[in-house]
Amino acid sequence: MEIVIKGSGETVVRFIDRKGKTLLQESIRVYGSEKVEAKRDIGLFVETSAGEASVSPVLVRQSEKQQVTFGGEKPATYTKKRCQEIGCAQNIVEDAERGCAQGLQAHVIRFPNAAIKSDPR
Amino acid sequence: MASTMLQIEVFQESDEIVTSVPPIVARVFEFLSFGQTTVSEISAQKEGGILAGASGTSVGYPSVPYAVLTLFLKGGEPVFFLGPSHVPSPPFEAGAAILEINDGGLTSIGDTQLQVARRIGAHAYLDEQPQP
Repeated sequence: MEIVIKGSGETVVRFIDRKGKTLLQESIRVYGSEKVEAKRDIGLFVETSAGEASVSPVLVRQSEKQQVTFGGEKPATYTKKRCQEIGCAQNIVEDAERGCAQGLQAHVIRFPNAAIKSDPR
Repeated sequence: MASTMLQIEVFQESDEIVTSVPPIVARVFEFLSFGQTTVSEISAQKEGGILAGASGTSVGYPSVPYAVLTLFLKGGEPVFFLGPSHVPSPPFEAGAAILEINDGGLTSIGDTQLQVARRIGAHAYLDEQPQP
């Protein structure tokens, strides 16, 4: 699935499993002119010790002037469909559609200026 | 002369239970004017990496991401520029530029748990002399 970002700024995407647990998180920062555009191809499966987990991307943050699409659709639309597809409960689907997903549980490696770790969502 | 900056950074972090880490491939794109474009700098950086198992052994991958800038000339012909580079390129009549960064992914052997926290980024500076 392709994430397209138009405009400068920071976009944060979390990848949740059917239970709403965040398995992976990516922060993508893009800078250039007003017309700058970025693309990131991502997979929709993550291998875990319990086997392959289907995941859904959740857009938890974007900069004010940025336009973001998931697979050519609005992120909320795509996320809702994908969450339903992987079997998320209704409350998880609704939270994800609103851009809410729990933060990562473990931070083995710590960076001094990783602001996204303090995100309360 | 007009200056153009292309800059992208990806910070990828996983939960501790994963046994695979996807590769990072990200591109940033700008249209140019088909004037004379000189690539004045390409730079790439990386912080963090992938840890494997309870021992926290780091898994060997390059210390800098693979960064490549592509200019598209009239007719669509691409020209590749590898980074890092800090000296000006010859001029090209280019209509678009794509900066791409790559860092490898990994699937563990057996049930070895992996933890990733890596930040990779790159920038390119271009100088354009508009068409007369």
